[in-house]
Amino acid sequence: MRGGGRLGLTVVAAVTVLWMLPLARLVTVSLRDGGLDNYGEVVAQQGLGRYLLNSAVVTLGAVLLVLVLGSVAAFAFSKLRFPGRNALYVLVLSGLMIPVAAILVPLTQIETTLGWQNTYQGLSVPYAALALPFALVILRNTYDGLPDELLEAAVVDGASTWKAFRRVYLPLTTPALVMVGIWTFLNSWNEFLLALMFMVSPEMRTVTVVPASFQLEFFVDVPKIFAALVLIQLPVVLLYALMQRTFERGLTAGAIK
Amino acid sequence: MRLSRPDGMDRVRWRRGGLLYVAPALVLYLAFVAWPVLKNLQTSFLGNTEFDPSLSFVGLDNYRWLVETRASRLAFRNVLLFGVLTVPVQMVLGLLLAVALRGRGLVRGLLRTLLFLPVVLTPVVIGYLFADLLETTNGSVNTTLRAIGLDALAHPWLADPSTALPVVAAVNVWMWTGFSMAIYQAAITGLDDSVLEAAALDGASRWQTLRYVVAPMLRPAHYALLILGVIGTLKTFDLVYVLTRGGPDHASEVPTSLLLTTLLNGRDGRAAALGTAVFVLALVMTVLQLRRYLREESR
Repeated sequence: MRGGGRLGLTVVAAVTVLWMLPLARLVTVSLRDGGLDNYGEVVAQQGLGRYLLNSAVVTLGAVLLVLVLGSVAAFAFSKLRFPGRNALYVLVLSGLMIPVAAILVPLTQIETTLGWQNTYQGLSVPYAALALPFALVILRNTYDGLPDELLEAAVVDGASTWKAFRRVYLPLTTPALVMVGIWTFLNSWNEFLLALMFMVSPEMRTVTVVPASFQLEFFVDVPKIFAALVLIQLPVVLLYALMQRTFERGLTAGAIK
Repeated sequence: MRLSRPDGMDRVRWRRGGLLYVAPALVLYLAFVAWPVLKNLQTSFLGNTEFDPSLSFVGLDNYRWLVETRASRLAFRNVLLFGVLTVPVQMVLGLLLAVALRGRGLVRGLLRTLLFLPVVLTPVVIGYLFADLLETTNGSVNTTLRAIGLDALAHPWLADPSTALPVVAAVNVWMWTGFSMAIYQAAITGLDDSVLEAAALDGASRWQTLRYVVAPMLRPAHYALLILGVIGTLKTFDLVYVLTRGGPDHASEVPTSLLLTTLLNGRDGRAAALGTAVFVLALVMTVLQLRRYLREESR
């Protein structure tokens, strides 16, 4: 399709400026009465560093789980034949439409039983489980696009199926792994409901739960709260700035497939 | 048939136990997603009181509560309204933006990047940001309105029951329009140029081309956005919780926010009934839309 007209572009530019105003406001207010010291203070005195670390650990755990378990399973669903293959795949796919609300009550019971409240695995594991259906769709599609002959050739050469997976197939799926990784990272970093339920003790809070407690402690010290909000957002924005095409593709991939 | 092929390859694939490969992912999914769905259904038939946390069978009592309580009826009405206020708006805005920004160029790329940015941001952070902007006395929205002489329009946006839900919906539109835009962009790039040129040659105006040629060709994108929009609507929680806590007086209550309150009040059974209702809604909507889509595709 031909490019849009100049008039249209000008209108969209104006819309974009309007769209960005709230974010500009976020940054300006975060620097009010103290400048960058606001940032220093929320990190040094309010322990935001610890909360960022908590979120990083939880997120990294979820991403690793999803990539490892998702890859192994996607490879098998695509290249190996075993009983119940299609039924099991459909079962996992049905997870694409399950809202967290539908499982919040039992998840709370499970966390209590396992003693997983206020632990990193208490969030990483459910995040990974909830991300798996999406990961499987993307990764399986990727494996389906790779020729079966690679496996046959490797096996004829005397390699085990596992070796063929590790050495031959897995390296070829890197772009899909990056996409799934980013998707899982965003969902885990931004998740709020489970974090609110399961991370109760102050030192285990993740970044999404923090602003509420800051609001209580600072009363109406808006600049400092906003400084914290900017810092919470920083890892996401930096990654997005570095690889925006991958972000867009990763986040919209589920819809197009 | 492949199974009985004697050349050895399929026997290798069988023998190496594909089940072992999928087992770890499957166990994780079953334990933390699939089984909880069933367990939730079971819990929805159990009841407890605020004083006695032990659960006993109460039949359909929790569902009766769901249907009869004002808070719960409002929550389901609101989530429907929320979907109507957000999904179509995001789709139309996204389509217009995608059309205007089609093609290459530095400026277009930059505008696309900026418009997509809210999609990756943390809903909770956005919630706190807009809560401050919309605050009645000192919020930027009202101070700006007063500064330009539109005092009459200044409003307690989040504290007024009649505006709370639409305002949360507007913030949702701010966050997600870039997503619709990106989906449409990908779909438009895949369109066949010759059809559009033919339309232009036939003397179709820009608007006619968009309305009668482009829009129908984007049907898969419409359906994808509709399904994701409905599921996303049913998942709505973060913005509501941060902006209004479902208030004032349940005016912006949604099922998930009510579920959290109910669960924290120690009423597991009622919370589970809410969860099951949300699940069934998501299931029904997905199946309905997929069926319609497949029927239209096969025509």
